[in-house]
Amino acid sequence: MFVALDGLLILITGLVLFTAFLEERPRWYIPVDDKTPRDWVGIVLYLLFQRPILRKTWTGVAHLIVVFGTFFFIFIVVLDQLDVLLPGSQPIIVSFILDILGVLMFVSVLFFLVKGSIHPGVSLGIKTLPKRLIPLVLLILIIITGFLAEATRLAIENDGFTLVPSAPIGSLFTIFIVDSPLLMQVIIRIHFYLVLLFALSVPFTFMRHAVTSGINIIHRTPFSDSTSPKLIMNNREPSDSITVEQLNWRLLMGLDACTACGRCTENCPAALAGKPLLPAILMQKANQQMKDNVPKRISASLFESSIPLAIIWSCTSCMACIEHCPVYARPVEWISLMRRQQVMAYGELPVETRMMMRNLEDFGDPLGKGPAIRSKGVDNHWLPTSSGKVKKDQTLLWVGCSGAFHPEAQLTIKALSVILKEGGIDFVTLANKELCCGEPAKSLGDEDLFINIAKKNIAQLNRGGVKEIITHCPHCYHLLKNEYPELGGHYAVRHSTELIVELIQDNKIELKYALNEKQITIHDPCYLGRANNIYQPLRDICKTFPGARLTELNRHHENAFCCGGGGGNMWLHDKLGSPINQLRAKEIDSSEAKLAATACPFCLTMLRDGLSSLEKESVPKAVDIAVMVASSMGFSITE
Amino acid sequence: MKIIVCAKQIRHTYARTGINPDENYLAEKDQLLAVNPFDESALDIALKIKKKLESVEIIILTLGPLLAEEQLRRLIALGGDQLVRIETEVPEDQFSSQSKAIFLIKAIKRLKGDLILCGKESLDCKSGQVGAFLAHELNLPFISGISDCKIDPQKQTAIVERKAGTGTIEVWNSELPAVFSVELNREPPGVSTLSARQYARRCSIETFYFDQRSDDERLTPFYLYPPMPRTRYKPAPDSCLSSFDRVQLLLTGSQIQKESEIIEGTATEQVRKVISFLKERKILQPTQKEK
Repeated sequence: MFVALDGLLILITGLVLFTAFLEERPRWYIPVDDKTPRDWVGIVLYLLFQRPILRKTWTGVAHLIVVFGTFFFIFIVVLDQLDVLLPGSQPIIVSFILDILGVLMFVSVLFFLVKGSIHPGVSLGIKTLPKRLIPLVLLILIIITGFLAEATRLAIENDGFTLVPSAPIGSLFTIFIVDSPLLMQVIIRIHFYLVLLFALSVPFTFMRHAVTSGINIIHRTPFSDSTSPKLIMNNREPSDSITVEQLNWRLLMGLDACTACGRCTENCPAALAGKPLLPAILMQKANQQMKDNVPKRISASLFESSIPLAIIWSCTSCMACIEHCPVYARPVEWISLMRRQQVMAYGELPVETRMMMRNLEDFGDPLGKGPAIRSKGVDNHWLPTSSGKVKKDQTLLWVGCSGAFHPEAQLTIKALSVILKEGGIDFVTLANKELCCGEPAKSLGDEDLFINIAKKNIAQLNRGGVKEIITHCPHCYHLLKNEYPELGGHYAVRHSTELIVELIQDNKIELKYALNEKQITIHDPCYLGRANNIYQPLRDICKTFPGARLTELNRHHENAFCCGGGGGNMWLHDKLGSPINQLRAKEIDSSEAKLAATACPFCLTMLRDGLSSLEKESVPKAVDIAVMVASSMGFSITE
Repeated sequence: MKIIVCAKQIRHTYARTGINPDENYLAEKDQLLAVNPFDESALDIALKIKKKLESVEIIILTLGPLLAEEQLRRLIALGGDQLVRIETEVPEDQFSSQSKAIFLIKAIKRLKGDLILCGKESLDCKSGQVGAFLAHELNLPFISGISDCKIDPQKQTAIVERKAGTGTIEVWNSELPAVFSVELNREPPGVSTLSARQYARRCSIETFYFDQRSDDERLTPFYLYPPMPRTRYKPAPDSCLSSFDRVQLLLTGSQIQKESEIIEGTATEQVRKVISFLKERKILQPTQKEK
């Protein structure tokens, strides 16, 4: 059966595959550094269970069948060819499994084929649709010819049509098959050549994900570990933009791993609100740009030519795309890179945010109020004064800009200070020595300003001997915890909800009184949940309120929908599509809950706006969890 | 073409949170160093010209000690080419508008600028004189409060727009070199690129030293009226002022004193008290008998 030509063909296919992936090497030329994690166990577990893919049940099951089927068939055929199992002497059970598996694979591939041709990408502008379908059509043909080959073999063995229990489906095909060894040989050849053709299609079609996604999964890192390149500061040559050399290997690999399955788009708040951002398309376009530019090492116009600015500024950096990506690609990081490129290399910042940025530069806060007004809480004696020094057992309460200036968030800080005092925690604030953490600058792409502000903050914190920080703002929390260490600020940062849960569990504070409303729901802030994996404290607190009933929203935990205020959208004008906060407000309104607890000043503002814009007589109220805790403890928190 | 933009460094007071009346209730944190926003508008106009014409050099000129260095360097990052500072021995608080102009002129003559732009006024003094003095001393055409400027490089003229109130816009044609003072614009601030910022951080600040102050003899300050002493109200506790007004008065240095007296007792006693009160104030003259 096995002739020399086959060996030659296999050799040629192997060579083509090898050279095709070798050609990709320039794109991945930035070598893997030693810090890049290599999770070999992870990839095996991933292939065995495929849990991220199984989030969408039917697609996941179909994918599982195709992957297992392919591996199983290759395994059996190789065993066959090595004469471990002689043809005809296959155990009945193996033959039966192969038969059923073949049918399941056929159905699965057909499912993918139908899904592929009505793929969201069709309407969303992926023009490579026929190319996407080639490997699937090849797979269908391979399965059909496989069955035909089996049928010819059965026809020869059994002289015509008979139903064989070991191969029920294969024997069905014998209805129209003559018992001719020549026909069998021809069909087996066709089957074999189709397999080779399929193998050849791997590097040139979306099937490359079989290799690239695997590599990306091996080198995956947790969310909080950013893979975007650091801004090179104070170098002699002015660096205009992110050069290709700075692009991280993992970032490029993530682009290549993307199969445009569209799960990011299905979960993207901007896409759902009708804004022009479609992460899957963005990744594909960026990948195309990389293919064109990186081997030539063109750093300018990395992204601009094919990606309009409206797309880049629509992102709320909620990380839903990262969370739902089955191959751990990171569209948000690319968007933040593109933003950074726009601001740092071309000075193109949306007009409406410029005044805020200038305020951040001059006054140290996005509102332009200045340090004199920042210490209002201290001057009014509801926050402990401090000289900037922190004693050994003291904790620092990071008030944040919203806590200092925004009337809603000031209530949160008041409540938090009451809770901390009751809980017996000795804490101080930096008062007017605090600056903005730099989140608006970072999320809007002004990395230079962010680094300047962060360095000033770190110098102040280090001078004061700060070891432990409590903050109520998830954005501050994220930056202080995950971004400041790289700039030299190492602190034990805790979110206020974590601390409140601890105080409740230690019986230091007691939630005695029932809240006015019993039905509570929770809106998970993106920077607390998806970015830092803090979901449970909010729920633990809500369960402790006397008589409270907790109902989850439709989209919660990892699936939680963004309030629309992240990624600098607090300051950007909402021109395209519908407001994201109204979508979330409708979802909260449709639930039974009367109170929506959250733990983020951004979410609080956005949800309040969204809920009041529903123009209903009674809508649920968005409240910060600290205020709820303080009022349950018996304190009335007023302005 | 050389455009010289005069930039004043100011202490911008944005709040009043102090407690000491002698310091006008200002705390240290209530001020921040800034470049006069009118001068930033002047730079905006210079940048507009630079965008349209080739080989335009923008020199930013400042006077006195380097206070708001970061903010001055930001002007460079936004598109300025050179930063020049004038150092003098005259103390900062003894500068009059005229003497400022004279120091600036010395630098402008050395730099040989074709167009001199400055803010219409400064945010702290609001005198609005420096531009006029510059033009006067340099003997150049002067237009104040301009909002737009276009340069015709062939004819060496400038077409200048200025708002003349009630929505009228005047368009002037001026020969170059000239001095224009610029009205505050309401455009969003510019954003500089990273390379520009890094250049601005590195670039050296050229310093001119001028010792002597030689005032123009044609114009001499004749007499200086000292400021009127601030009126100090003494509102009584039962005055009809609202609490807000009362606090405002207190903040401007007023005192609250109890000046009224309630007369009690029988009718005769009351009359006696009124008479003695009037006599104390010498409103009623004492009679001959009492004398």
